[in-house]
Amino acid sequence: MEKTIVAIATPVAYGGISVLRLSGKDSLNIISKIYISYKGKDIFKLKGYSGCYGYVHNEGQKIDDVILFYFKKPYSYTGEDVVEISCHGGILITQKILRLILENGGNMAEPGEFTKRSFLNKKMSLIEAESVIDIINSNNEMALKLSISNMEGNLYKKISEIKENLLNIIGHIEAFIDFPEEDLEDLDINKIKQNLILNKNLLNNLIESYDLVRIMKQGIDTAIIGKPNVGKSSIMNLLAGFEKSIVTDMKGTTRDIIDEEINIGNLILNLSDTAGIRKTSNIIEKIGIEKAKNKIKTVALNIFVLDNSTELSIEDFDIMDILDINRTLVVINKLDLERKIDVDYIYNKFLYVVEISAKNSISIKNIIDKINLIFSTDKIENYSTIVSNERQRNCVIKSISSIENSISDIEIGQTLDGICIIIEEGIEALLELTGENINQSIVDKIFSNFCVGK
Amino acid sequence: MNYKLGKYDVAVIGAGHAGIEAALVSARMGLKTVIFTINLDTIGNMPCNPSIGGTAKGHLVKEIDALGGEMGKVADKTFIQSRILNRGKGPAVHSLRVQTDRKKYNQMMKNILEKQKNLDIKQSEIIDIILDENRQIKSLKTKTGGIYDVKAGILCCGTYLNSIIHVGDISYKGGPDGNMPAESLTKKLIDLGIDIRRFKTGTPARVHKRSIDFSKLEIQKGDDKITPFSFETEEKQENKMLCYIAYTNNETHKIISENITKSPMYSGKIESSGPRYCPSIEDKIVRFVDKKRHQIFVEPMGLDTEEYYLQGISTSLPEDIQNKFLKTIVGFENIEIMRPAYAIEYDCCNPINFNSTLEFKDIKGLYGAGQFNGTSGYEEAAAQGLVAGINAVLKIKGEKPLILDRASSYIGVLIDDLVTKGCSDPYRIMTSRSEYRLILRQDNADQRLTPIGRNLGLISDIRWEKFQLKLKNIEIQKNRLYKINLPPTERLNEILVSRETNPVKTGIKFIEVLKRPQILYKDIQEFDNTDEFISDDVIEQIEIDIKYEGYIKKQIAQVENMRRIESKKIPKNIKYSDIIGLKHEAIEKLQKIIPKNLGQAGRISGVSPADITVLSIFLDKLNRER
Repeated sequence: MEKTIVAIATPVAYGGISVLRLSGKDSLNIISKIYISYKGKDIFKLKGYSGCYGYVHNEGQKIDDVILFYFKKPYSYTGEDVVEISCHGGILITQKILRLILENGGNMAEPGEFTKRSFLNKKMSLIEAESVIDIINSNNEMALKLSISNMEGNLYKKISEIKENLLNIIGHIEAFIDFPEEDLEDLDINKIKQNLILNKNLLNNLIESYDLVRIMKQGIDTAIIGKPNVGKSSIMNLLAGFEKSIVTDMKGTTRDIIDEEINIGNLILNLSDTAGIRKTSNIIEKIGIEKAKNKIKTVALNIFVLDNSTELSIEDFDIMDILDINRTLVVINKLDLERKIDVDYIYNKFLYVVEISAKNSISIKNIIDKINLIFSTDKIENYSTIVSNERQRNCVIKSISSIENSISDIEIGQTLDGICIIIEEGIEALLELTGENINQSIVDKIFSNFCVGK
Repeated sequence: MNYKLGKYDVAVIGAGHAGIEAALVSARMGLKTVIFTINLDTIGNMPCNPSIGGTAKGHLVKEIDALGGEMGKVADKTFIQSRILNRGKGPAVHSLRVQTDRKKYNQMMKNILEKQKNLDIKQSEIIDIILDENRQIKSLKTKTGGIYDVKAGILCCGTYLNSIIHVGDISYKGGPDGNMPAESLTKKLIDLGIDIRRFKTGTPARVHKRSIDFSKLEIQKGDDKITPFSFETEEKQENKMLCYIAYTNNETHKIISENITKSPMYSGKIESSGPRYCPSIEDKIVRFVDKKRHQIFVEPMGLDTEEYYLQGISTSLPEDIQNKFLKTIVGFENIEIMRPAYAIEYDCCNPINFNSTLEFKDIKGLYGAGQFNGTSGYEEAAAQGLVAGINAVLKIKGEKPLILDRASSYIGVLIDDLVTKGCSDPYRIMTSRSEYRLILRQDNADQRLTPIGRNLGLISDIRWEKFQLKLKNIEIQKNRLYKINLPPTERLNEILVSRETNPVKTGIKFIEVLKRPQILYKDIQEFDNTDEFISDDVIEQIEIDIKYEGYIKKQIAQVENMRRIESKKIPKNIKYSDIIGLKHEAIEKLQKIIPKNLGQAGRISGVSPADITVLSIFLDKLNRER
């Protein structure tokens, strides 16, 4: 039975609309777990070639409004049940939905897999099939190039290291099993468990760094914060290169969070303009302020805007209290006006400070330089070769979950033969990244590390 | 002068463990069979360790038995000590191993061959293999000029081809255990285009019982309750002798290190590959410098002999050095060597020359099995002999070949490894070589393979009925146990706690309790109110089914996935160089190995998943064109 596969069908780009495509017999099943129609339609009752407006949610929390298209087998691109989801463009949302689908039983499609299925189900001519081979071929070469660059990458090294550790563990157990009459060191199951936990943590760190790099590649969640009327929206517009927020001189104009994805050289910022933070009795404004405060804690970068021409206020100090200096850029705006702010205090407290006038478009360069400094591109270079895709992240996640299972099996006292299978499953997920064969690796390990023989 | 001596369907060359199974199965499947051996007295000889079974090897013997082979039956009748290794490490890796009475085993095997209908035994050395114009085997020629016309030939020549014995710097032409080597056949095989190479292996010294001080050695006893290899063995079995354990020490290691250059392996005299898993004592000392001592198993060679075998210290050092280092071992101070240790070099073939049926890819009707195929071990040899024999018969009868896949058996793993990956040193089966270990257990070898054996006509009616009864009992008892609920009584909790598992507050299913790794059926048998007698093997199956359900399910899913890929056949005449997108290395390997299906192709080293995708698309395109 073929697995149900998924991939982002549109080019990865900013703006516009992105399409995710699922193919396989579970397509509707998977989607039913994350999609709700606005008109309450039962998607299982959809006719082929029909669309349905609704939203994608993660356990009830709405992610995006989407249009769902259903192509019933065999009248689809692949000849299988196909579901396409058109969501709002932007890498972040598309990735989120993709991940949701993967979590709900979808499998990441291999390069060319839709086309392959299409061909296998006789939906495609021979000439078209030839071109598929070309695509796969080019992917093969790409994979080769990637693996060469991965060889030098830190992440590859780390995965290899963890893989080696796990192979050592299993090699030890296997030698213990295959050569019971050798005078091998007794197995300390507790030690093995500790060792597994250690490696699980290493993998977890990896996922974190994956996610960090993903943030960098797919956009740094950024909030522009500050008191009302210090020029937050002007800075947003400056960064975005056009007018987005409604800018007036009236305090409290921005009442909700406005999102914008912008590209600044190497980096992408997922920029949110927030409501100015102040004490207010206006209920709607209050909600906006609460949202802004939450935003400060969850984003990867805060751009904290201060007014050069006014003294620091209680509200500024309140904000400063919840800021993480490692991921905060302080922008002192309105440099063209007379200085009343205590700049020394700011420079002492924060690592990254820039002084500008939002009215002057040259100021933008100063801000971008500082952001590049915070997210030093060196860090990205180290990781970028391998981190880029969800399939690889999935492999690591799979590995972690197998290791967790093996640990709990040890805890309930399962026997070694079974535990081995689970650890092997974890190694296999990593080997999928490095392209080796598991059984040969174990056998090699046994020979290189243990003195065995009869 | 050449002369015709006879006509046979199947001829087996060599009467070691591979040859025996090949010849017996061929005769039992009704074909006129002949087996040739250089020396009639060495049928089923054990020139190395007098033992059968061990990890994964025990699995092989059980599988051979389920397919109607002989090794397990004779081992059950001639063993002198029996043990299950790996108890406590899980049922998948329990492995039966017995010490056998070497002479009795050899005599009994010879007699079984002698009594077998359709089978003739000839003491004769085969020196030539003659093919017809279609590269189909036609006849065999003996050293004394006899010609036998045959439809199939199975090469089971063990370590006899151009073998050379090494003891220190002395070397001479000679076969194993003081026998004559076969000096003519290799050249003929090379002329036939077979890829021949040289392997080496070694065996330790045999020593006299009276020269060992057993009081200084550790005793190793057999199991109290003995499990037989064969499903057919019913008579009561008992251990007849003890084994012992001795240890090398610093002094031993010092002598060996000082004399290392006298070992032909280290002087450069032997360059062929030896088995990695069975290193000589000099290898162990060089490779594992940190190890303070190495274990030596002191094992009797039989009931009617004073010879003892020293497992773990094979060597090719000169006899005087052997004497010297053995005497440093506690208990061996007065050791008296009867047969010195030696290394043996021999010709064998590269197993990627074979199809999965063990027939040569480009010589019709010629098969190979055992050490000739690059393996090591009696059990590995017997398994291949059986498969080669069966396939030789099936081909002559025009029936579908027997190809056991990796999920069916260790035999399948062994043969697939050999023909797909080849081997660079003598290949030994191990549990870690199987990816479906939880399914390939020795306790269910009968369930996995008896139906196949029955279809081949190798399982008797009586045995088949007994087997069916066992299956039925497992089903009935399992269903019955599934219905039992246990209230949270004090007695139940007392048992649970005493086995270090959590007590229960509410009622619990009998099988849920049985699922706990720490609880055996006998622990909670008192709650199973039945008058029926449930045999131990039925209980064992139920326990394993319940306790390992999760793992087994996982493995079954893996197997299904594997079989799906295996079902995609690759036509024989495919031109890999024409396939756009395959990497150069992949093309080379695929052309050499000629995999039968996509799964096998994927196991070839140097063939990447991307290559497999390319191949898969190409195949589908091909199918569509037809």
